Amino acid sequence: MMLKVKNLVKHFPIRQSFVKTMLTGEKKVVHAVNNISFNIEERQTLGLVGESGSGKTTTGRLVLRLIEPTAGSIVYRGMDITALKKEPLRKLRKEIQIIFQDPLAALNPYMKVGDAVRHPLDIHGIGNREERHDMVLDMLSRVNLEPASDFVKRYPRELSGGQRQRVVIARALITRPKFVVADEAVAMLDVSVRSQLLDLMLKLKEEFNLTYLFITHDLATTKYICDRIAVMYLGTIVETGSFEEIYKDPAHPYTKALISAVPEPDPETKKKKMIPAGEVPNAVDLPSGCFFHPRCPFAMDKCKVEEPPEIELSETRMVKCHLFDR
Amino acid sequence: MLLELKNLMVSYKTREGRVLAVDKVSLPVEEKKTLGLVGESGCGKSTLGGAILGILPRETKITGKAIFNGTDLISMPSKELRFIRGKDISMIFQDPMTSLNPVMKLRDHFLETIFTHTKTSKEDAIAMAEQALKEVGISSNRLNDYPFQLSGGMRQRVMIALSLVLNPKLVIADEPTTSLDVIVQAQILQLLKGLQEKFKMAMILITHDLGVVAEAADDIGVMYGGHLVEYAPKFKLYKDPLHPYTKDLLASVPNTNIDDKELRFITGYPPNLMNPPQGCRYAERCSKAKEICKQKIPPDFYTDDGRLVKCWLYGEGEGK
Ligand SMILES: Nc1ncnc2c1ncn2[C@@H]1O[C@H](COP(=O)(O)OP(=O)(O)O)[C@@H](O)[C@H]1O
Ligand SMILES: Nc1ncnc2c1ncn2[C@@H]1O[C@H](COP(=O)(O)OP(=O)(O)O)[C@@H](O)[C@H]1O
Ligand code: SF4
Ligand code: SF4
Ligand SMILES: [Mg+2]
Ligand SMILES: [Mg+2]
Repeated sequence: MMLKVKNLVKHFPIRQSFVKTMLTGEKKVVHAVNNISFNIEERQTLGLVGESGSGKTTTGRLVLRLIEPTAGSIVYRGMDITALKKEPLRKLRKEIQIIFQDPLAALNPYMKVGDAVRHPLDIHGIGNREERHDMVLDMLSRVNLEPASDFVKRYPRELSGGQRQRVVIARALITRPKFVVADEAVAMLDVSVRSQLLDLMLKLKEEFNLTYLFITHDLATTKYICDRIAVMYLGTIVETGSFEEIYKDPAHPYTKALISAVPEPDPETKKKKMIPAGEVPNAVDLPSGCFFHPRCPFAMDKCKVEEPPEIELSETRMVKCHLFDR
Repeated sequence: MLLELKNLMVSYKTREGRVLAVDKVSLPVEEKKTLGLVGESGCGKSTLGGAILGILPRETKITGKAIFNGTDLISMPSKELRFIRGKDISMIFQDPMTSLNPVMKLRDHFLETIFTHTKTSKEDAIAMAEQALKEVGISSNRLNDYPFQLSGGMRQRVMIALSLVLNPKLVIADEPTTSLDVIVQAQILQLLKGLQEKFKMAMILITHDLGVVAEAADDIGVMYGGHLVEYAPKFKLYKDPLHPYTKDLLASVPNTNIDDKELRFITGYPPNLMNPPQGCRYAERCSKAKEICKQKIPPDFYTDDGRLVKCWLYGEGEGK
């Protein structure tokens, strides 16, 4: 098992005046991640899907140990890393990497491509000068930035969006990590470039035996790259299953909505749209019962008061919804 | 016809030289219809929209015509154009945060727009703003909010309300849903379509995603490297795309068909418009390219049923 996440919780404190805290006697928090559990097998890709504000990025940052969990545990390849500190944590950073959504923001505009990609090697003290240079050239050609010797000298602004994201991927993979969190890695790119990048990520996965946590708000892109999918809403996982199960027969009303919202490139499609009104509410005052009930077209009385249990539909399939109560 | 572009050409002046962002584009925008303008980043979509609105940098060279309701916008003095821009023709941008002023309340955004173009009492203007907000599903007590107090989807709704408040004849929506999540995107597209029908406006919907306009558009124009390479009624274009680029672009859009897991994409990159290739702009990436494609830009060919396609596969044309 590559990663085992159990009952993970993350609350962010919100700034609130001292007086208000005194008066109300409560300290409000953002419930970014609310008790989630999932596993990722080695060399598999788990897609974490949901709208903005559902807690995907926070989950990714927790797993990378960039932030401290409020509760729960994270086990990476048999090792509990929940409370890892300093030196061992620094070593871990070599093995777990992240690819961010916005390559322009992720890259220093004054740093040449070659220097940016080499940077992690400098930090971790890998190789000598020459070796580092060769590793950078090798990695750039693996992400199809060729001729690599030309690209090392370029600045981010001289590249297209797709090329910049290739640089970010090269930088993430240069320390040869085993596990990569890709946070909306293709969301900012043109549709046509998205498929190109997904193809590259699949190729690199084979080459380097990678395991991915693939975060996206767009279920359509998971089709090409994910083995399993976990659908998130307001900090909870509402459905998990193999990619096929979820695509063929989405169980949770929210999953159904996500699939129906994908814009099909065919005006004659007979797909029924099931678009919930409104947006993800803020995670400070969570709705009662099922978090999705204010937007759910199937909501029953019970949904407003009782949190739905996690129901196992099959060995590989979980749904958190009262429609499946037995 | 509400708007007709005739041989529209736009080139930007930069330190390194001229960038030919839009090259001899001719196309119609029909009244009360939506034109979907599609193509990859950098193909000239926003430039085309900007030229119609007259909001491009001053040293930009624009030739050709954009005939709106009988008058040419390109040759119109900017003083007169001001009356049309924002009133008869309005714009919705991708990122509402950059087009809304962060230190201005929503109320003042509406008042500014209304007072710039009309003589209206403050009372009436507020009533107009409230009505416009209602149309996009936002409560009027939000008028006192600042933009940052709204979510991304709500801000886009406000932008839409602002663009509608003066009853324009044409709305140019430039990637209005590109930075939104799928669910909010679907909401906004439904909203735009509904409002367009209700207020009988025409719309140019700009996007890089052929999936986004499949439902909302009536006609589709496909741009590549500054050229309009195909123009057709929507159903014809999706069912039977003619231009190789349209075919490739359409194939690259993800769908939810589970049996279709092949990743299709176009290899290579769009041309540099500072130094565009001599022949067809798509020749370098096109699997159908012939000898002539690299030498001569194909003219606009028209099929028997009136579709435009700019590709040597569809005619021998002039000067072969
Ligand atoms: N550093 C932070 N401080 C306070 N709230 C945060 C912080 N990071 C994220 N949040 C909040 O946590 C929730 C989940 O956010 P995020 O993990 O970014 O979701 P997603 O990536 O799915 O859009 C949101 O309500 C967000 O505003
Ligand atoms: N203000 C500008 N100055 C110089 N070049 C520009 C300017 N704006 C856009 N361009 C260039 O013009 C071309 C078309 O850009 P744009 O109209 O923004 O395309 P799109 O909207 O389809 O992405 C691109 O090559 C772009 O780099
Ligand atoms: S538990 Fe109720 S409200 Fe929640 S998703 Fe299921 S039906 Fe909808
Ligand atoms: S003109 Fe030639 S290169 Fe251009 S799209 Fe047609 S076949 Fe391809
Ligand atoms: Mg995120
Ligand atoms: Mg643009």
